[in-house]
Amino acid sequence: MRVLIVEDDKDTAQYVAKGLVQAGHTIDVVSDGKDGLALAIRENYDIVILDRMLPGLDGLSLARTLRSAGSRVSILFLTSLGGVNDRVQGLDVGGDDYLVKPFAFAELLARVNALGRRPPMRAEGDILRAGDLELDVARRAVRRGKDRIDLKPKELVLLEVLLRNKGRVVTRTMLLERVWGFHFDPRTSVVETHISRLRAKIDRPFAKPLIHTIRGSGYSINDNP
Amino acid sequence: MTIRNLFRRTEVRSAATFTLIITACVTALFVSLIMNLIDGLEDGVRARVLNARDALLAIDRRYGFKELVTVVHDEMDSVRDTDSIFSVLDAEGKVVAGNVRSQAHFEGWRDLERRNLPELASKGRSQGHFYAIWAPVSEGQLLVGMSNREVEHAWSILMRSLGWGLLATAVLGVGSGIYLARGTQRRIDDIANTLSAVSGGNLDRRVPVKNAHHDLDEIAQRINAMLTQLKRLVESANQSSTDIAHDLKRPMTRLRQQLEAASEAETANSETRDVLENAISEVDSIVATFEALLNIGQLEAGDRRTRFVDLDLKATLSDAAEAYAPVIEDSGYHLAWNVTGAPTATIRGDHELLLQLIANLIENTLQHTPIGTTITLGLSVTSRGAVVVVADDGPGIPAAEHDNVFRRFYRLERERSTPGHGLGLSLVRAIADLHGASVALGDNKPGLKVSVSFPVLA
Repeated sequence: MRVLIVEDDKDTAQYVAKGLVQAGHTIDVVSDGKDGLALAIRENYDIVILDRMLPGLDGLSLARTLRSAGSRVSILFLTSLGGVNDRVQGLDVGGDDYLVKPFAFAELLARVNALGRRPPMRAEGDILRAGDLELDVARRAVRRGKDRIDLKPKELVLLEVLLRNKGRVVTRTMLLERVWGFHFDPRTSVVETHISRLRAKIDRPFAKPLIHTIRGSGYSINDNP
Repeated sequence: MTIRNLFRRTEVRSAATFTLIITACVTALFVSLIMNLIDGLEDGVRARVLNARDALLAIDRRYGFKELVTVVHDEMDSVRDTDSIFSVLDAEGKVVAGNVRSQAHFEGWRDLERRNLPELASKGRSQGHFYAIWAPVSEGQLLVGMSNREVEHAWSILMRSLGWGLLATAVLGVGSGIYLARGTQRRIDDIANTLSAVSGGNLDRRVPVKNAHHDLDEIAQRINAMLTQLKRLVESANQSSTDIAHDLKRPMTRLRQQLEAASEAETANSETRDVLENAISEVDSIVATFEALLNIGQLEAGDRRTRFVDLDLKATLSDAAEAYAPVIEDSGYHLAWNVTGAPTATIRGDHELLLQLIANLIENTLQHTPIGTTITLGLSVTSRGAVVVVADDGPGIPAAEHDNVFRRFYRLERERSTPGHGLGLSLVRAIADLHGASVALGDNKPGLKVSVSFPVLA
């Protein structure tokens, strides 16, 4: 994927660029807001990773201008501003995701991957699959092979988020945001507990596990590990 | 608006008071005017009675008693004037002339009521008085009296004008009172509205100032100056948050990147890796602490209130319960529900923050009570408000510590060594304050009971 990094801290920009290149992405880096905007409009990027406090033009204004120019590029804010209002502001101006510094690179990578190949909104009645596991999104029904599996509402949402990102890592924080609407870090093992309950229903009774723990980063559902 | 409420409004109250005072003044003025006028008119009538008497006495003196009788008789015949009464008695006290025959002699002035004089009964009016006086004549007594008709007439005119005058005063008084007071009321409403807008998070609102010499404008100007000062303080607080974020997080970000890069380097052995990963979690916990502080600051500034929507508190509580039920059960605790009252609890608020409030309370309980404790999530909805309760049957907190636990970084003595930044309850209180809710700690007998009371929408 083509990724534009707009970041004025050279160390961070370099660190992110290096990591993303290793993960197979193509990277451009600029440190000035105005240059970033010009480049984002001119070039056809998949993702813009945007700092908020930038020389030239701040990140919020950049995103706003980009959106009003009709750009549909995915915008990921990567910023030190992590207050309750800051994230809301970022999403309000058209940001697709918001990650607060300091960050784990694995977290950034997972979010970049999730954003870049974000599946289009599927029609109702869609069926999500992984191996012999099926989730009928419209009817909220789950089967594995011939067996019907009863899931609680949140377990179903959890499975849906994992399936929609099949083959990609979904981090603990991404799950907290998308499944429970938690935009804070719980001190208890909310995600781990739910994952273990979900595994008990869809993996444990079967020969081949589908949900994999990716150490230091998150979870992934995958039929060919 | 009920009458009771109407009278609580300053404009109506001041208009009523104003009218009452003006009416009292006008009445006093009129009454003193009327008293003096009537006195003067009465004196005039009495003077005319004395003139008529003196004329008749002169006839008696000069031409004798007989002539007096004749004159009085002729007078009665010619005029039949019921505005005057006369009576002439001879030496034996017998009535010899006059239109009044029933009056005995009396000393000095007397008011005679017309209806007590049978001789006049057939002649028109029955109301009114005569001012009358007896005077001795050469061969008997003479009664002269005159009607107070003009006094009465004047009285009725004056009373009528007093009536109209009072009516006009009342109307003008109420009208101008309302007019003047409405201006004042509008100004007071302006001030009140501005202040509630500001406490609602809109720091740019100011009280409109019209005329610099009016005392309410002076108050308005001072309030505006205070609001400007407040805005500056909030902005500088926000600015320092931003500065902290920028200046402190930049090195933190680099530090974490370096640690991360080092721990993933191929040359690192597993021992080094463990040390580096510990260092990374230390960095994360430092960042979490000041992130929490910044959040409390942002919440206290109140900006977030502009994003409030109507939401069902019960749904928020169920969401939190759904997230935590497996955690509570799998870690050996018990979860109980205690929901009473109306089926929904609609409040104005922010779902995300309320979720965090409830989550913090649940996590606090998990952290500070032993395994096996029952955690009760409660919601009671009454017309007065909605109360979210998170209670446990654990060891509780001594009542003396109840206030302290809301202080930033405060830790109970027995828990100094456990992890956590001591900001959880400060954040709970900041979120509650933002929602106009109050947080109370109580004894659950045994255990701790935290109640958060929200005002519900009518």
